[in-house]
Amino acid sequence: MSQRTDYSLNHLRSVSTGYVALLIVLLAATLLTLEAIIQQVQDGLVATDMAQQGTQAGATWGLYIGTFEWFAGMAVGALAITGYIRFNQLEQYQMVARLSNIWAFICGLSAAWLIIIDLGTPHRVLVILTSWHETVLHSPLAWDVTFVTTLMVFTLTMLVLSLRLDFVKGNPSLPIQTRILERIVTIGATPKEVPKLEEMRRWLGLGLLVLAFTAGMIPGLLMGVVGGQPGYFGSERGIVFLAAGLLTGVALLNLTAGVLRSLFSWRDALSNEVFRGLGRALTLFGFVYLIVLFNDVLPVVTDMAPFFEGRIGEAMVTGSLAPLFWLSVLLVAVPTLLLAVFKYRLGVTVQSIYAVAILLGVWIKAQLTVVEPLLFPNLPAIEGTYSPTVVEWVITLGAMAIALLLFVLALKLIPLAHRDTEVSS
Amino acid sequence: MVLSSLGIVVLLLIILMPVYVTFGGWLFSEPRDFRTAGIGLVYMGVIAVAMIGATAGLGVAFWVIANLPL
Repeated sequence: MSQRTDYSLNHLRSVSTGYVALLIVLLAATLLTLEAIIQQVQDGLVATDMAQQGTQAGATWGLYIGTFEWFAGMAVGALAITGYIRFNQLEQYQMVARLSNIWAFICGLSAAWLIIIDLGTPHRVLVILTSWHETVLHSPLAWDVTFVTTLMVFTLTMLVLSLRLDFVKGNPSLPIQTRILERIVTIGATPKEVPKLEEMRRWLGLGLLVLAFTAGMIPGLLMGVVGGQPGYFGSERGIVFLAAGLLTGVALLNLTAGVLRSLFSWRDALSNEVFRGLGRALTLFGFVYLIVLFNDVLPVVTDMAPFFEGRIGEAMVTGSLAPLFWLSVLLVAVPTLLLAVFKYRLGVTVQSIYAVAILLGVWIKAQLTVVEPLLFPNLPAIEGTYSPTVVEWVITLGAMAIALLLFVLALKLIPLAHRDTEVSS
Repeated sequence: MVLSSLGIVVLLLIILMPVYVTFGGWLFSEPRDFRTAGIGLVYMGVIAVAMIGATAGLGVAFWVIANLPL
């Protein structure tokens, strides 16, 4: 019997050995993360290396905030992709829209999670909520909390609306867990509402695009308004963040689509043409990221740079941080150039590997962006150090594992494209 | 510009802009169907309340973890 190469809902029903093994690994990682969280919450932030302040020139922000910026960026990139596809009604990319929709929510959730972890104590979480009406008037951090909340509400609403539309339009045979989801999202639904739902999905797509390119810059801007640290303050931080976010969002989609096509051979929903489109987007945003990075770095490595800014630039380009900085640049630049030279026709596997390199490159740069200004403060002759503790590593890598766990679980719950009818293979 | 009025501008003009675009489109685009648009608004409202409630719940969960006899 030849293998099916069109999209089927079988991914909701079948549970392979590999899937179970992955689930067990991710659940074990989640339990390990929980143990680290218990340790941090009980002992306080002393469990991290983020306790040095002031003249000691240590980092008070580290892996948590760096990875928050990475997740928040991916969320912005993924929601921009969802918004673009839904607003322009690009049916050929409907599976990419669904995947990016799911990822936008998970990445937003992971970003919010890491902010809560970085705050350290439960009391601070509740203070943010209860004082929001006052802090939103003057605190960029409160704007950021508002943006991340809006992002999650909008992406989840898009998921609900687009699923409602798919379920109302067709009635395939669904497994029990998806049938329950269908009941929840189709409350009061009638076939007559299809034209209106299509229009609402389109307008929500535009809303997501507007969200990505307005409030989406706030996680970057909130560093740009910190005047006390050289390296943070500046007018370009929002753009730098957005450029990285769009790139990582597209890279995440390339990787996810590549892995799914390798596993399920969906040549209709994830066609060669779709992959060329994703490759084109990866190349474009790769160059945008590199150009923005060049503009960000160049002024601080000239001889005319202010002393404290110049010190950061020197550490980054030729000093103690140079190996990590150049690694982060190469991990983005090499795949971007190769994609451009070979016109995104390197195959699904190679494109997926490039996506991993880009995700890693931007993640390293996100850590540097957060840590550099703290290690080189406005104090001559003082240079700090930062070595993340085991607790920080476990919680940070655990956040990635939990994000993957949520996605893997979503694959068993959410149809990835619209099907009118379903015939089991 | 005083920071408090800047905050109001950022909130009302920037952060909430996607809300205006979406709600405006839902309510006034063709075909006009206030019932379906209303259902969409209710879903979004429920999700927003659930999201904020879950954050508060997480704060409480952290408080419990902080006081576990471990």
